[in-house]
Amino acid sequence: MTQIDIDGESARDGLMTLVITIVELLIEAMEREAIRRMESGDLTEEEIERIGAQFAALDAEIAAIKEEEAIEDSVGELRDRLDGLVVDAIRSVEEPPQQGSTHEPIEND
Amino acid sequence: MKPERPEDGVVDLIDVILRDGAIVRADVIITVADVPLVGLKLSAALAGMDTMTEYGLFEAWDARQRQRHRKQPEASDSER
Repeated sequence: MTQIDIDGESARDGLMTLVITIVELLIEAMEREAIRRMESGDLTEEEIERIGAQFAALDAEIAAIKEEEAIEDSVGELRDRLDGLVVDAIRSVEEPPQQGSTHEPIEND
Repeated sequence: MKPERPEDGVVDLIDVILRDGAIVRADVIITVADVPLVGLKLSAALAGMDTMTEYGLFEAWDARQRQRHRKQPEASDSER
């Protein structure tokens, strides 16, 4: 299991990392949906412009928060782990687990 | 754009769900001491709006939402 340290001195950092990571993932997924809607051609020019500006502002805001809290690295790490989890899960669905599967437990910090 | 990481598992997963859409149906009966007490009939559809409207769902709402903004561009957006 992945552990996120949210007690002791690093409580704030751990919590910030968790929140920012989730928000970042959501924003990115929504950006992709926005691109899909733009490409499907049913948005007006003005809407495309507005949504682009909004996402640019969001990205800038997230980047600023990460820099302020000095959590760029920990967010990146957490994202890598979560991505690894998803990729592992999908692989285990694709190919039923055999003996000696490559699933390694994630080490705690 | 940010540099793409080699594996973008979570975002890819959400992206596929939104792109293709997902339907969840579940019937639940909550029982205490073998006596059913609460029933729950769930049916949920989750999809990106592009896919949603393609299937004819939320089309009117989508149009209305965007129409409203054209009338009053000052209104704040993002109902999350």
